[in-house]
Amino acid sequence: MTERKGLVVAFAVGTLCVAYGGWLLLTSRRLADVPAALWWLAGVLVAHDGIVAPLTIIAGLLVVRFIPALVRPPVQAGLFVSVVLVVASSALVLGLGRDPLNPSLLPLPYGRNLALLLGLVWAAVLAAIVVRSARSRRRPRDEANPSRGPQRWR
Amino acid sequence: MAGRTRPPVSLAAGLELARGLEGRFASRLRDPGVAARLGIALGLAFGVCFLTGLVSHFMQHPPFGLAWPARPVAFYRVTQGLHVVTGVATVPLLLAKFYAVYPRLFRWPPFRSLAHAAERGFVLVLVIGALFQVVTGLLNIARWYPFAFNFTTTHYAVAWLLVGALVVHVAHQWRTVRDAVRVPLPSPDSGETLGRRQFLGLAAASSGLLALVTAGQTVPGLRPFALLAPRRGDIGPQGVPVNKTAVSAGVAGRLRDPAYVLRVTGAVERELVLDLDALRALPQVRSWLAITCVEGWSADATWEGIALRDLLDRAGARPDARVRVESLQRGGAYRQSYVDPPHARDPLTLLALRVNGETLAADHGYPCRLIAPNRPGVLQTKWVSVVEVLS
Repeated sequence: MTERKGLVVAFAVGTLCVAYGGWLLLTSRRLADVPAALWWLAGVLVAHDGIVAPLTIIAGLLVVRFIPALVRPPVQAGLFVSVVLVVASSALVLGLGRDPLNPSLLPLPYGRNLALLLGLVWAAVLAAIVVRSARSRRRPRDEANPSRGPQRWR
Repeated sequence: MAGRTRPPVSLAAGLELARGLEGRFASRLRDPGVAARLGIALGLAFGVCFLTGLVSHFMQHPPFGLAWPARPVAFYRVTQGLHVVTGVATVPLLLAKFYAVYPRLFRWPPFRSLAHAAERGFVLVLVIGALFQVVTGLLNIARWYPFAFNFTTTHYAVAWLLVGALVVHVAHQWRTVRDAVRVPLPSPDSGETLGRRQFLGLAAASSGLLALVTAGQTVPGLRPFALLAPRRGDIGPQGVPVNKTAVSAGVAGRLRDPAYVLRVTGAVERELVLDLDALRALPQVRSWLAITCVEGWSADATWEGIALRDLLDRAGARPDARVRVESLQRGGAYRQSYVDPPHARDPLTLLALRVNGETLAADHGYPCRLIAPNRPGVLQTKWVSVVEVLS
């Protein structure tokens, strides 16, 4: 009963906040803001749900198909961290916000720094692979109970 | 998408496909326990971003009669630094969470009831809002604007959309999450693909890594790790970063005008008209203060100049007066700022003529700039020419 009340309150508060945000968005003093913002709001959704997510699934299927089970988890981990680093740094690496009059803005060699971080990540992946293969040689898989791999698309 | 031999051609076959779609995502990472834990982390992160963002918004647009305190000196530095670092750190959490719940997009039937439709509507707003805030935020700190809308106002509006949808989503999922986190994640996962625990650990570690390589733009001690920070507090003219240059503010041609004077006018007993020599002849005060940008970076510096309250006393202003500080800039949103009594009377607040032992560089506001504690950088007006005491 109280839970239901909580839901009703949350729904009311949420509706008010969303309505306020929508009102702020649609009553922008600069008229050009409104269509541009709406395009971008739709665009980020399409970009993720229509492009990034399917590509992730395809990449996942390719990894399962072509990367041997022994090295698969470290490779998957490396790919995830790499994608995160690239997404978070791409605007800096491209450097399109640079201003020749203001060298204190984006002052670092971001391409080099990203490469350095990716190098560290894949060095860690390599180390994990070495550790795993050493372990698997010492302790062969229990044949009576082979763990099934992930289900594929049927 | 599916590896069927023939694509469905009829509507019935299409519906059949849709019905089965949600169940066909195979990864074990798409798991309620994983989604719940990521959801908690994201809810907390967005909560921090929203509250710190509100602080920044209301500091720049104080609602009726609110005068912010000048202390603690580093308050805004902490809140805004946290805002940007937390926002950057949500990238892996968001990608991981969307990965875990993506199949839910294909639920069939899409709406079971009106309430269910409303709930899914809020989730749509939540997903859009989260993506929009993080993407535009990342672009803004990199100063790249591939969009026509004003970043500041739009980012603020969408923050309300996001937080509203978040409140509803949290209330809806409260029970599910509570039950899901009570069940420990299965261990050990089979070693053939990434396990659930490993995936969560990875998302957390990636968040920490991004925070570490960004935070150096506001935490001096982390500067050595600031590999992906858009700024560094020690890089810039006179060892201080610049946001708006004299050229981009359109004042470069007028700074060195020998006729420059600072006027103190308005509700005063004596108007003051001070040229540079007169300013330098007044008692000089030193303040160790950070300049803190709304984009999340900050930099400490030693500023020297005239304490604003000394200047106001000299002109005979009332101690509780509000002050308007005006720049040589002819336009722009930040050509003037208001200084409320807590800041105007604070002994640290200066009209600075020097920084780090040198005469202010043009880009730092030569001949004279405002610098005050606990105040966003955009309100630390540069190239000051008028101090108007408001009645």
